[in-house]
Amino acid sequence: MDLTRENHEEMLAARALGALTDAEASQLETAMASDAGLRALALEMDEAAAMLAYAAEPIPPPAAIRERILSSTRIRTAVPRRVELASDGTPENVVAFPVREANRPSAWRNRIAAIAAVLVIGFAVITFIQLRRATDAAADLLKSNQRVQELEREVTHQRELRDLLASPDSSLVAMNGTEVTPAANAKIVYDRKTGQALLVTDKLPVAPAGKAYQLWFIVDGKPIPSQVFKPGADGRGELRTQVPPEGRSNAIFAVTLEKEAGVLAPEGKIYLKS
Amino acid sequence: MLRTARSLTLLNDILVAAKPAEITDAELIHAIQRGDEGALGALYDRYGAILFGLVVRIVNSRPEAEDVLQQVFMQVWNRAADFDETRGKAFSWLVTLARSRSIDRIRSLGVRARAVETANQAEAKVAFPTGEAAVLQAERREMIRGVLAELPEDQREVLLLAYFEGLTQVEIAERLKTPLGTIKTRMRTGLTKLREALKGRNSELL
Repeated sequence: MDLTRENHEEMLAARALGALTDAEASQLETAMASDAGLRALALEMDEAAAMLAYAAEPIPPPAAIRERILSSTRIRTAVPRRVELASDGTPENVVAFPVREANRPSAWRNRIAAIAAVLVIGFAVITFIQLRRATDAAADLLKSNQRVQELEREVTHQRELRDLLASPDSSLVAMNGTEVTPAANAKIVYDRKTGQALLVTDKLPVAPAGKAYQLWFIVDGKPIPSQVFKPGADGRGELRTQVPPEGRSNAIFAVTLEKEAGVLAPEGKIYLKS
Repeated sequence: MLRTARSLTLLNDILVAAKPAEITDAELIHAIQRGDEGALGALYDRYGAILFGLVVRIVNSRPEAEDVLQQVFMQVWNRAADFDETRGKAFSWLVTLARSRSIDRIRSLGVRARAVETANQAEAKVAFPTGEAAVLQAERREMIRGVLAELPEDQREVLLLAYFEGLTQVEIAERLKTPLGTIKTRMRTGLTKLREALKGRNSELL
């Protein structure tokens, strides 16, 4: 055996036992790179050295270690299993334990936080929309109620008018405009038994501020005051009232412009008369 | 839960394809490469005691050895793809990982007394095993101890100092107060005899 071969075998034996210095190991690797025989011998030396592990007394490790190892693999399932090598090519000496993994801020926590934020924002938007819809619905309901009340009043009014006109004791009296308002006119229908009456006016001027029209029953030349009313901008006006018993047979009806609160004796001009 | 189920499936595939005794170490490592936890558990069951004994022998501390053993198998799990059958047997790869980790540990701790006499206790005790694989390991253990017993004392001593103490040839020479050239010769001669003896007794070993 030549010296070089013997020297290489010495180095291969030392390499297999991990007894080379770094410089020696580097030198041997260079020689092995170009010598298949050396590589084959190195493999045999390595296998022989590995068998020396049987020289140590086998010791069953605690059962907890097996569980710790398998638990760690389960935790690491979702992450890349390849570990990085150190600059010298040796593996990193860090093994992550479950608790360390658990302490790391993880992506799924961030995802949960994002989902929670979206849910909160979504809930707020939905609540706002529903609140707005509820407010609109309440306003619509109020308007509807007002409209219903108006219709109910109209129905009641029409029913009263129908009943009043249909009554065999009803009387219809026409009223004409005076020189103040020649175009104005009105009709009053009343029940001679009950005194229930309805005045409907047309083309009356809008009452000035602080003023209102007042109905009068003139019996034997004496005016009996009734209620005040204000016609609309279209000149139409209505007044439900009660004809006193003394005026139900032969009364004269008149409408004057008076103070808004009404007066006991006529003070203003006559606008309508029967 | 899915991962575990998949592992059981993978391991089951192996068990169906071959009887337990026929599942080779390399097949287990290939299964580990595919993410089979069951294969890692099987490999641990097969070699955990041997490797733990080896690590305890090197670091001379059970708590430290437990930590190192866990690191070794986590390294197997993480770097199973690095295993190359053409560059050596799976058992050699496992032993190399365990030795490297153990020697790194004692060097980082710097507290272990590297007594020569502890290295000579290697062949003292007998194994515990049960089961077919354990019986096979017991046979190998007896074979190795037999071969070591046949080696001259000075050669055996050098091999064990390097292997279990992690000493370099220079350190061994200093420890034994022996010329470095002599240490190198003893190491080469001793390991060559071991290799030849193992080849002669069981071709499957090498």
